Amino acid sequence: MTQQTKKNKGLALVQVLLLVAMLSILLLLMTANTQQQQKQVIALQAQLDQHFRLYSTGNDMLYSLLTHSWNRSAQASASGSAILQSAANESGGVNAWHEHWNFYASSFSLNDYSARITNLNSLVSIQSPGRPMVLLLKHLGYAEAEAISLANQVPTPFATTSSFGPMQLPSEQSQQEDFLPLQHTHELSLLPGWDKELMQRVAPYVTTYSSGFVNEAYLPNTMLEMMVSKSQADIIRLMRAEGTFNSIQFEAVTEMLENELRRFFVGPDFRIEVWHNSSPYFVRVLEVRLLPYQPTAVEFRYQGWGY
Amino acid sequence: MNTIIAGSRALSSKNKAHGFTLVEVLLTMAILSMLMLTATYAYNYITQNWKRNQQLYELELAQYKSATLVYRAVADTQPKLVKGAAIESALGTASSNGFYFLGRDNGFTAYTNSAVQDPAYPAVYRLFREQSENGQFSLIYEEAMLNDVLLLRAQQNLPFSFRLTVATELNSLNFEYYGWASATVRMDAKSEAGMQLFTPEWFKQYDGMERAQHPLVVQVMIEDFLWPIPVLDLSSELLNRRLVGDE
Repeated sequence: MTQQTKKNKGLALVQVLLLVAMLSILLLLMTANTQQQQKQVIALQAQLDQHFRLYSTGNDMLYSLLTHSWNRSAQASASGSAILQSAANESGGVNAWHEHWNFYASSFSLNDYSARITNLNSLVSIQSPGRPMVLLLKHLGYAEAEAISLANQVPTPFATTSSFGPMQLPSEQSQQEDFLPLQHTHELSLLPGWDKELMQRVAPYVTTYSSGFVNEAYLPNTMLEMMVSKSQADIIRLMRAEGTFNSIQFEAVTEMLENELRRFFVGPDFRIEVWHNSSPYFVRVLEVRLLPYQPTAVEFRYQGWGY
Repeated sequence: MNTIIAGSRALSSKNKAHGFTLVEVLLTMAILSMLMLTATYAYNYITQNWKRNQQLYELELAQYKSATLVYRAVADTQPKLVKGAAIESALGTASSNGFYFLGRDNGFTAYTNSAVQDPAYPAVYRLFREQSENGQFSLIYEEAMLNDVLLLRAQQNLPFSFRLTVATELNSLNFEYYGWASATVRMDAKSEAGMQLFTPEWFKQYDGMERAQHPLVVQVMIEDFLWPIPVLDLSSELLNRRLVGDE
């Protein structure tokens, strides 16, 4: 009788333990499943939040650009007006408008975010490439002959010469009847002699805009040697780093003056890139034409993520 | 005898105090099994319900994603300058230039800078209505990505290998185009005195090659909902460079 009692006790304990274990496993599985779903929702929410914040930061920048005189010192430089020049000096020129902002494709900080503004008229237009495209290709390491051969493949509205001599006025050039402009950077990779790798190397320095003039004053830091000597490029980079650079300084350093094909105005076409400091590969990109006080103040040419 | 009975009772009370009877264990097991069965059934039901909801959500999300991608691609529509058919004349063979756009009342074909399949590439797309057997319409998006071909001619053969259904079971679906009647009309829109003689109009059909212009707005009328697609007015920029010929 005593033995049977002991057996019963043991059996009951094992059964209870088994049931408790099964229930625990079931509960654990349910908890794990719920936690996984919760994590997914939180991750999605964080991603959406980041999207919205980047979107807002980009829009804030546009608002700032529309409500500040970002081309004041450039105007002073262009017109030589004493009033405008003094106004530019008082405000410290373009670079003093916002302490860290610049327009030559160097990134600057905006609290937890970073941004980069590129003045599109300083880039090489793939719609009328000519000599600047040769200089860009040489800057990227191609020999003169190869650079000319590659640049010759890019359709241009004006008849090109094999030597790509000094830039000619449009009136001095003959117009090409068969010309069809490239309208997308990717189209470069489909031209004879070009490939995707070369297109990707060239992409940061080219634009599909064609304003008809060149603005060397706001060339990205990495492109300066393309147009000016190394010593001049170093001086310009130093001034930019110190925040003292403007178009007047550029004219003084390079002795380049504005003419029909060369203007040192900032804008109105910009590429704006914004990213959070914790995720630099997730970038909001805007390409816009800003025309303050015009009926259409902002003309979006491209809006997207990454580039 | 009395001693034996007393001893047996003592043993019996001891048993009762320290162990479970088989019936008790079976009862407990039965109750716990039922509880577990109920819990498992409830859990299964919740899980299946969750999965069903998740599938529905994923389906909705996929539809939303395709609609968003299509919306982005369509929003990036741009005038694309191309050559028309070659025309033979006494002076030789020439081809007129125009814009890659053909709009009808049942849909249109256009060029976008961001393909749905990969926004890094341009594409040619068709957005059109398709009628089902019950008479209702679907809004269909078809795309030919220009990742390995340059778009040069209006008559170029392109592989429309990508297809998305944007909306289904629509009672009405129509298309309209707002733009200039032609490049000539646009150039003559203002008189020398500055009077506005012509303005852009709404059209049921719009051929970018014939008119040498691209519509400024494409409007998709989905039942009572209007979906206007504004297009960047780059035609004039290109026209200014005398790129559109034979007007």
